[in-house]
Amino acid sequence: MLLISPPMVLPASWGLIKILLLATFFIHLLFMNILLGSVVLAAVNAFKPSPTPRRAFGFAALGAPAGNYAAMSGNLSLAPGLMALTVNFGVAPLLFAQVAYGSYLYASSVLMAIWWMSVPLLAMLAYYGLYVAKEGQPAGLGGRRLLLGLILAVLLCVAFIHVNNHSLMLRPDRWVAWFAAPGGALLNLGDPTLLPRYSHFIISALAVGGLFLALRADRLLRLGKIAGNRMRLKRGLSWFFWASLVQFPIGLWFLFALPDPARDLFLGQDLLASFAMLLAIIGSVAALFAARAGRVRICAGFTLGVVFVMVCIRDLARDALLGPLPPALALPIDQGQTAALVIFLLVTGLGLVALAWMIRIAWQLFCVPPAGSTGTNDAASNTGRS
Amino acid sequence: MEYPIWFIPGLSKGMIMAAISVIHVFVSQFAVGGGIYLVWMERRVLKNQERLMEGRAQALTGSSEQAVLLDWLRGHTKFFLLLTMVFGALTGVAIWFTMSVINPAATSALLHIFLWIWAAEWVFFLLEVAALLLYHYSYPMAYGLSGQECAGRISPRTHLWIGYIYAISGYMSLVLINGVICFMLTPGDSLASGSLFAAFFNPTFFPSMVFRTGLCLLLAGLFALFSMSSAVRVQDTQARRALARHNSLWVIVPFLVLLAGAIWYFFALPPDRQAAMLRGSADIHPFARSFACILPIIFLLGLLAYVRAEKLRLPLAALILCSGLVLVGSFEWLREAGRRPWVIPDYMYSNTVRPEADGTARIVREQGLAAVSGWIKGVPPAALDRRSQDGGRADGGLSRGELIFAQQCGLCHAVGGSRLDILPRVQRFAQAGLEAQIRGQGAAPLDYMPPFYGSGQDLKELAAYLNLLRDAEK
Ligand code: HEC
Repeated sequence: MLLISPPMVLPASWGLIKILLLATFFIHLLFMNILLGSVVLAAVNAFKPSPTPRRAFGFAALGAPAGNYAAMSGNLSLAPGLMALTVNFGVAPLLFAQVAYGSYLYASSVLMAIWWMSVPLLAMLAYYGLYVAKEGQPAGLGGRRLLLGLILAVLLCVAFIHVNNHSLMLRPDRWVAWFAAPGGALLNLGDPTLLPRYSHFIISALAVGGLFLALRADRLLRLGKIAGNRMRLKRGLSWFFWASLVQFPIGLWFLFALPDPARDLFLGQDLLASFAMLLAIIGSVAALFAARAGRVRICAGFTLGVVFVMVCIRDLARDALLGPLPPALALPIDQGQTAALVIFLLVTGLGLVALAWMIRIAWQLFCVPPAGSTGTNDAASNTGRS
Repeated sequence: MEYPIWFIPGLSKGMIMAAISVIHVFVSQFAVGGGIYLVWMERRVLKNQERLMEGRAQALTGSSEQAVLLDWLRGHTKFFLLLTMVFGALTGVAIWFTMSVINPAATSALLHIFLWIWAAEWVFFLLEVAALLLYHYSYPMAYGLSGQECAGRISPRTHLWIGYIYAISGYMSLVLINGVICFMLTPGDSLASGSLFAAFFNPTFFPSMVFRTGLCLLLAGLFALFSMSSAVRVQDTQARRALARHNSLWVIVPFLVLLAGAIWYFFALPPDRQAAMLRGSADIHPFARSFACILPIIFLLGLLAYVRAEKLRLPLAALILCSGLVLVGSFEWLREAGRRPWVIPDYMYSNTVRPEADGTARIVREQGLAAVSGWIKGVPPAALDRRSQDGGRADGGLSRGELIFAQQCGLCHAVGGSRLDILPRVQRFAQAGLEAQIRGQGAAPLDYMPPFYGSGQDLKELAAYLNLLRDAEK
């Protein structure tokens, strides 16, 4: 159809651009999951009624700080930093996706221009909200609920807009809606994959948010900081377990909502795709068992693997749905692209060295207790500086 | 033509783009200069401390002025973080999103040509984020400013090095972006040779680097003056005056660099771009004038802040800051408008038409736009008779003439509103005269506009739409 604009010849091999796209998107997804999951955890617990005397006794027995919120919002102190990294690691895959799939992605972005352009604005709101949540504790329970509720709503909107755009780009047949509504206010609501796709992403954030809380608690426990961390570990893993369990029916729903050619790929028609799907399912089951057994690190290892395989599965489905691109326009500047690639790789290498150096410093400053510390100061390690 | 278009009647997309860009450039160039400012100041403090130590072996903490300065620097760093990392970074993302929606074809071309430049820029962006977070949160641990118990966990030298990483990454981002931005104004002979090296180090790359370096440092001075008189007050009079003096110097000295850069920049432009900048037309002249006026004003305000350093209060600081915004705004506008009628000279017109597009141009001339674009084909031709009273189509969609206007004229001309309003401009023409006028676009004296792209029938549709506008106006 003439609605699909011709792409442009790529400045490097398709495979390389795809690898960079998938790798950076994977990291983006991890940060996004931890961030969104942490906000959900804090928000849900801010809305829970304060514990009854009997339950409060239970908290005390576990050595927890009084109340659900104090126990479960520990990740919030990291949230502004996570937000910065989520945004940063969102930029790279969008760059590569626009280059690789621009013929589709620009069109769908224009069709939903208003929503799409509101993404940076919404992200900015959430970002400042997270700073307020971290620094100036909002006044009282009501203020805290309002703030967390707003941040959560905004983040969920951002995710929803993304899911709309990335599903609309796959459906040129739905683009004709533009002819009656060129104002950029379209969404992709009629697409049967929209809801399962969205739910799949959001629930994975719940699981990973819980897992991250458990991971931090586990580390503090190893450092001998008992207070509250047993409970965080237990409840974080339990969030992970139940959310991941729900992913199975939702994943199936998503799979069967896909149009036939893409679905059949994963049901035996394509060996690689079916194998990837099998791998993801086995990994998820393994992660569930590890979570039940309280083996946090093993669970995290499996989860990382599963998320990565899922990113690849998503990519296979996309390519299957899009089919071949129209013939490409010439790249007007085609000399010296390889040299530029080498420079990019050099910059990345140097950048990684600098990053490693800074991560080491940060680790020693914020994650290792100062020499001579007794290691029982729970408040400082969970809500304070980070 | 190949992409759909975002169309809201009366909305000037160019205006949205311009507003976001100016604000972003203002803050992000402050981020570049401010990074250099932060490490420069910290280094001064450290040097001073060392000197104090040598002179008086016991006076480890230094003078009280030293402590005040450090405290202020910490506060200024936080102000800097909240402004640049949140607002600056996300307005940058916003420009990109906006550009992708308003001009996908140009965005796509720039992303493809400079893919590895953008990718490298992203790496520096990542380093900036990491370094700035660490720099800010480890300040008390290096100097023991607020929580004494955690002081000394990291040496001030190491802290300074983290700052260097930030400053270098910020400056490198500027270098990379500068190459791309200048290419859009002066591609030089890179399009003929196809050389990325020539495209990046194009004729205005170096003058623009000088100009922007001056601008970044100047903005660092402006924001430092602003922050010390608003968000992060300095109480101690003695320290306050010294700091205000120092910050004004950050306005005065970089100004001279900026001025030299601006002059060099202008003379490095090819004659047609120079002529475009000096053109008297409504889209460029006011900005050329405001640019020329704001330069001496900034300089004088900087001098004033220096002379009356002890009396520096918020109103003066805010005034200087605003004039910085005017400076950035008029410069960026001049640069944008100076490209007209191109987005990338000799490669793509403002209306995203590529003059060389392999044979398509002929098809379009002979068979019309609908032959190459499904988006135009899908809009019924001569839909004019199906228009409702208020000029819109009954089902809410566009008419073909309206669509052609939106695609080929809409990036410069608004319908109603302030930005090169088309309504008064078509008043002078009857249908036949209008067609001749549009046919004359792209050649002198209408060479500030791209040539019309389409068949005779397409032109009729466009002219009919414009006539309708004119008649509705009457
Ligand atoms: C690159 C930006 C740009 C584009 C694209 C553009 N114009 Fe213009 N147009 C201008 C400028 C600048 C002026 C002069 C404004 C002034 O000085 O008053 C102008 C002036 C005009 C005038 C008044 C000319 C006169 O002599 O009075 C008309 C009519 C006009 N444009 C129509 C169009 C139409 C129709 C299109 C689309 C086919 C179009 N323009 C596309 C920038 C543009």
